[in-house]
Amino acid sequence: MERKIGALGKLIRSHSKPHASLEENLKRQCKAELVSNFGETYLSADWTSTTGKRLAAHGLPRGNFVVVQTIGPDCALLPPTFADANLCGDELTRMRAVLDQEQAIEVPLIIRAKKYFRAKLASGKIAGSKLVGSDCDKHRRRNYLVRINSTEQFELPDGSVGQRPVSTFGAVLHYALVFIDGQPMALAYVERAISAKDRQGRFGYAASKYGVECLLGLGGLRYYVPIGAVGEIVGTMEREGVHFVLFTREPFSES
Amino acid sequence: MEPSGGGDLYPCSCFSCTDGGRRGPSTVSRSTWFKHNAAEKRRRMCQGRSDVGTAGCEPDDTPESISAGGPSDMGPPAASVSNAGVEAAAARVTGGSGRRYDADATPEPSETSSSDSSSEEDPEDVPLPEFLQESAPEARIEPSPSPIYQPDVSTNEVRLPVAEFRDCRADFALYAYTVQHNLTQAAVADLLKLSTSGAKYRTPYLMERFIDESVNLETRSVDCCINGCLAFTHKRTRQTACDACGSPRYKKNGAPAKQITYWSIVSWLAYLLGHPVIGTSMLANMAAALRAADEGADGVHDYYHSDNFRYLRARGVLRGIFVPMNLGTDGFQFWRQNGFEGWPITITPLSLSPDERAKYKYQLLVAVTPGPKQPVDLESFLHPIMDELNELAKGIPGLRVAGLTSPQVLRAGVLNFTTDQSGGDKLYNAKGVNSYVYNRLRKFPGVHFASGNHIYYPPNDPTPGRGNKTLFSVHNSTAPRRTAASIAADAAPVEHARAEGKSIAYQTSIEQKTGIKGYSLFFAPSPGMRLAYPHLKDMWEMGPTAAPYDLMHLILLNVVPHMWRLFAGLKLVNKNNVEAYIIPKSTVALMGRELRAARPTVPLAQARSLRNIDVHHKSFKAVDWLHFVLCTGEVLLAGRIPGEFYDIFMALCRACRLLFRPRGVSETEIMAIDKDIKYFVTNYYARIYRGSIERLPLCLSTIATLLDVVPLPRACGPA
Repeated sequence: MERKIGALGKLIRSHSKPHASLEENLKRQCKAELVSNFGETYLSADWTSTTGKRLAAHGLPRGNFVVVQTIGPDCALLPPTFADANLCGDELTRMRAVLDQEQAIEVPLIIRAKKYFRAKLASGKIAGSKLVGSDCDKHRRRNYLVRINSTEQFELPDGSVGQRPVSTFGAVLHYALVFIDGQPMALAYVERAISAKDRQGRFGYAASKYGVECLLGLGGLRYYVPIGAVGEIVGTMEREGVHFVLFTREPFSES
Repeated sequence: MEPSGGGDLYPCSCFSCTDGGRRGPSTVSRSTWFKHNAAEKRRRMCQGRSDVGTAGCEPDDTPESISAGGPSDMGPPAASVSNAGVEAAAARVTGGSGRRYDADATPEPSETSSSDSSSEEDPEDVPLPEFLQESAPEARIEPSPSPIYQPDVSTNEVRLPVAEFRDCRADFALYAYTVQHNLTQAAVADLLKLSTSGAKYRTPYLMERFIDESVNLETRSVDCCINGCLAFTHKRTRQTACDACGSPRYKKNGAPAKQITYWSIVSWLAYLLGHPVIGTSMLANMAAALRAADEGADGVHDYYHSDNFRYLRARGVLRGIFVPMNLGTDGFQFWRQNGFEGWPITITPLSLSPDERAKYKYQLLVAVTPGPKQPVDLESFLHPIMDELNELAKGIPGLRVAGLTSPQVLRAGVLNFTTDQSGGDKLYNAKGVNSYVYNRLRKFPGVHFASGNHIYYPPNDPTPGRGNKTLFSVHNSTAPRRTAASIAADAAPVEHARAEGKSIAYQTSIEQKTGIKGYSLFFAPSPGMRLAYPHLKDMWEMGPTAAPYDLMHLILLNVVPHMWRLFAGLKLVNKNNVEAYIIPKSTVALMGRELRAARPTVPLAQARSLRNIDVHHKSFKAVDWLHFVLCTGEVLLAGRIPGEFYDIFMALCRACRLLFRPRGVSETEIMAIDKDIKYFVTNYYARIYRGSIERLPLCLSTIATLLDVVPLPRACGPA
């Protein structure tokens, strides 16, 4: 309703007869809508060629790679991308570590990966790996600090070891697609966050202040994590030198 | 009437083609057929509406001679109807990822759908990965469906056959884009003169005429006061002057001084249901809604989980093609100095999917009041809409629906209303905030604050000598609920006093005691209205829960800004700025800067603009307050206000995190919201208001109204 009202103002083109002008333009708008809809529905090819505008495609952009998940919605890697190349250095070490952890059977000596820089997470949100927005640095937004669904082991009173879910935080540097054990695997290369609770950034734990999760910054260890474990993109607010993690609301519209 | 079978020619039996009835019908092209029959077709909107305005007819017009169902020879040519079966939209995506990064969380195989593979040679004989790319999700060019024409129901449509539309597509495209970009007539004229333009009609006048001939948009005009006070509808049909300002209805030449245009709801619905994509989707959504209402759900996720929807289902209203609708109205102002204020009235078909129904183009504008000020009698402008709703409740036969072979009976009804506080008061015909009983759902009195000459709504009466009498209780409230019958009972004495010619003071005193000013079209109709619209009984019996408080207005534009003003020391009681909850000005300034500085570190999907709340709080929009109460308020206020006040704010924050969520709420979450809201209200009165008479201005009606936030979604669905 508020959006509808907001759009009425520009339809009033006469100060002396605002209502008549508004009604006339509303009629024209309705007719234009009917015409466009008719063309798009019944003459889609002709209409597209006439207007020069292709109908908006639904779904993911061209060049995406869908990662099917057994639980919940699928994830997807999105362009831009680099051509596949051999991993080396720290990235190769970290990749081997995660493949060991994931109990990969055949880990080749040389691992080729294709790097992506955006991903659609299971939560439906698009995470990036660098600042996005306008060209002006002042107006760029960060959408790569993510909450990672993880588990930690703890000792039970009877001496056995239990597991419990925890959230850790990190900044995504890129997303990698590798082909291991005859199947593709999508991973996010994450730099863990550091906090008062985890000053080395070994685990990416957040500290708590005033009952709110907070971080000191980035710069912890880097590691690969399966993309399905990346939970949501989080925002932070700096206060007294500490970055407080803000509640992630569900937007009514992505537009 | 069937097509003659010879190409696109149709037999036309209009006056000119039959030579005044002296010979048989002639075969003409489709556009000519529509042109010849346009006048008769438009007249359908006037049928059976003798009590409503003039609807484009002269005041003394004789009644229309066309029968309501439309004679068989009045229908436009039948068109082929696709017989695709209606499939229920049953697929639901389960939410929640539930993923863990641990040893068990083995990544799953990825699925690819195209073979954009690149197998390259590996220099070291390592098995090469094969990267498969998802095929491009381009809009597929599928065989275009055939348009469905409505022979028996007036509809908004492009009258031309597809082949003729194709021939003139350049004109249509140009028209659509000039309107979309709001180009001036001069700009359009220049554009049409360009040699590169492929349009056939090369002047704005010719183009407008061509569009008028090709596109049918069902509207009707109703006389109204030249000053926009009221419309001459219902009992004012035969009046010749406005009874509010005395302005004459007609000019000296007999033409109406001013008219208001109504867009036909029936035609819009017929258009949507006849659309091969939208219509099929609406049918599937209707079936899914009925199933969901039958199955029950854990909580409230959409309108079909509401009590009102189940009530209509139990009454047998939802049979066949029934489109539940939302009616919205709100005032808007332009040019405050010149003063133009209009009240648009919109209808949103709830049978559209949640994504679609929120779109601008599917919020169908029905009318805009003429201004320049707000109408004296808004109800008079609603009568033509009621008239159509009455017809829709009765059922309009002969509707051709995409995916169904046989004609259907179109039914529709208003399930709920969307409006702000003042708009709701107008629809209820309520006295407003100056009445002792203001709440829409419960009847509990307020207290008059003499020094401010306002009425406030504390839980106990702090006036000396009244023994701190309980006015309402936050927990287990026993204040009587308003129902359709109770509103009618409250309206009756006022109407009787008015009819008997009692003094205005007497009438006002009655109005203030009950909060109701008289009969209202949607909630407490007069006997005359009941007679005029006999098929709207079910809607009237839903009662006040059909018009829930709009949470955006109630919480985001009232309660949250009020809390900020309290904490920032902008709302003082007796100019006393020494309160535990007031934050020092320097800290408020610091909070504003922190909020502004957070802009780069908050994703765009979470908040578009993060402005300095200290500087810009007066111009904060609802979306800014939404982000404040959900996300940033928690961080900004922590440690800066005492814990007891922080807990009050966080209770509201937690409730809002569940309320302002697009996917609805489960039963457990509703209980959690209820608990938090009651905690907020109880502690607000206990710790901020503190029960003293001088602090009475803190007992705003909106705080008490928060107690209705939980019952309303159950009654009418997410607001």
